[in-house]
Amino acid sequence: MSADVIAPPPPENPTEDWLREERIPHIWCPGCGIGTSVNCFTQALEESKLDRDNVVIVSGIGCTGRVAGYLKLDSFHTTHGRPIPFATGLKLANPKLKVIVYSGDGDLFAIGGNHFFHAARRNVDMTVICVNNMTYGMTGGQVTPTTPIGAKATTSPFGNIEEPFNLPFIAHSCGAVYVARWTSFHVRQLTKAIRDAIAKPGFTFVEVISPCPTLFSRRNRLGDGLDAMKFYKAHSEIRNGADTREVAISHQSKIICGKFVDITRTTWHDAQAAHLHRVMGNRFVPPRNWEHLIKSDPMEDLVAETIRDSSGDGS
Amino acid sequence: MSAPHVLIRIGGEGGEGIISTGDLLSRAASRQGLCIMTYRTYPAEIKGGLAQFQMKLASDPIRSIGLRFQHLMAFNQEALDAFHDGMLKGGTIYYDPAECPDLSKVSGEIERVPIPLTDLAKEKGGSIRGKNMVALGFLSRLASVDLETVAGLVREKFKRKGEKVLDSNLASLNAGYDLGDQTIDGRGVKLTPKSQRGQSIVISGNEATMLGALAAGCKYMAGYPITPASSILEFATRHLPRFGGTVVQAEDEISAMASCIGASFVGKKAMTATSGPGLMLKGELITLASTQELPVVIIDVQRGGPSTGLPTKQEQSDLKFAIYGTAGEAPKIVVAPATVEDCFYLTAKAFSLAEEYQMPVIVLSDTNLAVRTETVPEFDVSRVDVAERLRPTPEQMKDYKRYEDTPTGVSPIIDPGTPGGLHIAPGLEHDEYGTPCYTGVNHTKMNAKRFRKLETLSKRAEEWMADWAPVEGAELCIIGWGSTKGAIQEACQMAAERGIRVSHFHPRIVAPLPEAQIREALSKVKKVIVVEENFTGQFSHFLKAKFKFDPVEVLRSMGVPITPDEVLEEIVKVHETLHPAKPQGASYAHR
Ligand SMILES: Cc1ncc(C[n+]2csc(CCOP(=O)(O)OP(=O)(O)O)c2C)c(N)n1
Ligand code: SF4
Ligand SMILES: [Mg+2]
Repeated sequence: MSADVIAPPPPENPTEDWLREERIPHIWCPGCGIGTSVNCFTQALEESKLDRDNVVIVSGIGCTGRVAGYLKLDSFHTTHGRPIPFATGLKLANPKLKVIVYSGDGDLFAIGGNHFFHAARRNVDMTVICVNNMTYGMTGGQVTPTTPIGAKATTSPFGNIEEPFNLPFIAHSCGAVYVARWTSFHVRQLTKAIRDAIAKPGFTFVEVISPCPTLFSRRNRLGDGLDAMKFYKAHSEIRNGADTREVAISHQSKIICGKFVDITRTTWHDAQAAHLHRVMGNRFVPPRNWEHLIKSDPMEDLVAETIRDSSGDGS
Repeated sequence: MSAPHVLIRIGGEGGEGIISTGDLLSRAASRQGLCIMTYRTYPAEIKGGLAQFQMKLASDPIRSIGLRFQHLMAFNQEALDAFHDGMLKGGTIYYDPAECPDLSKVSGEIERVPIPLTDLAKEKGGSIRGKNMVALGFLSRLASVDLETVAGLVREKFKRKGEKVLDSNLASLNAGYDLGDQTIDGRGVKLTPKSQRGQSIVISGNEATMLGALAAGCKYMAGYPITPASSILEFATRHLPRFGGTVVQAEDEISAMASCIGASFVGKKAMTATSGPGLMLKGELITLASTQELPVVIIDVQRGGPSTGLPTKQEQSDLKFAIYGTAGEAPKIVVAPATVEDCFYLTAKAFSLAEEYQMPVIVLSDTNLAVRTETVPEFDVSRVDVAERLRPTPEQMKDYKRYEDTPTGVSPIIDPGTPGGLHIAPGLEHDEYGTPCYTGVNHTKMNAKRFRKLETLSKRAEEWMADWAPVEGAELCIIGWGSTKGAIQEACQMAAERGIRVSHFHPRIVAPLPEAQIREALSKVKKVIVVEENFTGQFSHFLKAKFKFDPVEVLRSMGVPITPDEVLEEIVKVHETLHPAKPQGASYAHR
């Protein structure tokens, strides 16, 4: 057999095919959970058999924010805290695209909190994946809105006193249609959750509890990445359908994981298209790529109607 | 000739202890009475990427550090490849043979000395994590820094990590020092300490900035993490509570700024600290403070922009935003510290200016100042005069007008809760009482009142806020701002050694400008050179618009501080245009 007919060996790492290899090695520290979440994410994409040309990933700024840069996908590295509004714009302008926002707890819930609430409320069709390491990794380990009471950070040197956000509860109460939480130890469940979230229309949210060994764990003397995995294994409890009011996490407490919310609500663009079509009839011209949302094709009618209106047809 | 000094650079992978090696060595040298200046670059990421730490040790105070060095300690191949170019002639590279297999790129008269960092750390300390301690020991011997002093600092650093970690680190440290004993001989550097312990301190610009704020009586600090300003907030969280102050890490920059204005409204000295992207978010609120005439201090530690840009690199590119960056016309004061010492005194001064002129004051620091450490004379708190807000007289209280139109533009202010008066702080245009009023006549009058404060200040700015080093008979004057000062000063000195006389004007307050002084500086010379670390010449534009002249612009946007050599080169070029070389021979005549 000549050399040129030998099939190339299958990639050793199933995620390889999704990564921009020229950008590897990545920046993440040993034991960091972000890389694990990326493996789950690419696996989920692989399994969902989406046309990858129609998948866009949007991220903010932070260690997690760098995810976009390593994936072989159209990607949009935005400003700190704003990936959701950028994603909203691109989704509404081209609803054909699958939009995934991938960012950190600080980015999405401190500076970006407001945007999260409103996108969930509007039910904009996107999936938000939040790697919650309870700290600002990229800027060196400051407190975030998810840092548990008592935990130390560079800006809470004597221990944090602020009540942390319970992210699934926020997402739920703001209107997300799918809410799940897993740790970076639960790779199979996390992969499935991401796959389901992407498949589901509407605002879907997956929280990934993840260690930051370099900053958070070290400052709080919690050991390395492996210790974190052991902790997650020993202290997680899977409770699908749990009341989101009851899944708050405190410092080194039990972590309740699972799928908490899975409901159906009309998405923003479906609602918009249906409503305008109803009130404007054929005068409503759907933006390009919205046509599939409208039952009839109004374009010809509209042209006819416009001509009729302007020619003052009365006979 | 420049005073005796030694320049050492350490390079390797971020997270390998490059920075702490340099930090410990420079602190130990300082404890022995040497002057130090350090400069570091590190990748934006927490782990990985190339990090470097450069230090200059000298007997006399140091103005600038430059980018070149005599000694390079390379932890890995990447550092070796990236930095060998910066070596001064006759320099020496010390490299870890386990990590640097290929020396072929190193050329010229550079000596190469293998230092088995990895092997020694493994063998003597039992862990390759002690690599940086081996390097530290070796470099201590090289710079003739007393081993006991270094070991003392290492003990302090590791005392909480337990006996085992400490012993392992000390073993590696000793191994490095012993190796130095065997290898260094004549290459060692001996510097004579001049200062005594206790007269000077080693401190970074960001620490000095927050100390300056504390000295000025800052009682409220709200910030949001951002490189390279985060350490100001971190310093505040530790120390402001000791002075009766409150610190908040807000949910973003907008919130931080707004809460500072709230604190100022009730009479507290308030500040925030950020960098470019955060400064822009604060923009709307800065205009509010300006129109409400509330004192507030905003520290902007500039970094490479635009947008996320080069988060850990040097640039002076927020000047235009700081001066002009408002919708609507909102007066504010912009000051720029030029040294670590300035970070202390000028930040303190910023509080006084804010209180006295009742407006936002932006302190334009930068990455270079923020992260470099430097030996400075111990801060003298008695030199900090803390101005307070103008309060109404009993007469004025009879009919209190928060925005009374006065000859200086400054109106008396009362804190909310003061009996007999209302402090109404509107964002809408308002009359002297603070009542909304939209007539054109009133708007023009209130604009004039608000901007009059800058005129009042501009007259005073001339008294004290510039470094003006006129040189008799100089044909050239360099104008710079911010942290380029040391490099310009050294360049002027080197030029003088070549017989080129150059004056140097370096304002500390960049808006409003000390006009009369600048006019004087301009009038005395044939050519002006403006030096700044940005691409478009922001300060130069500002000067040109005001003074209508045509400077030579020396602009750098390389992400690193400009060096004395670079400035000198430009001086020589401009000097040559003023004194072209005599035509040579007949060929010239025939051209
Ligand atoms: C306007 C603005 N403010 C602040 C920053 C600095 N900054 C960059 S990343 C970051 C925090 C990231 O934290 P998180 O979202 O939790 O991500 P992680 O690094 O932990 O993955 C901050 C504050 C910025 N880039 N822009
Ligand atoms: S700093 Fe923390 S979050 Fe960032 S890469 Fe390292 S471990 Fe991960
Ligand atoms: Mg985080």
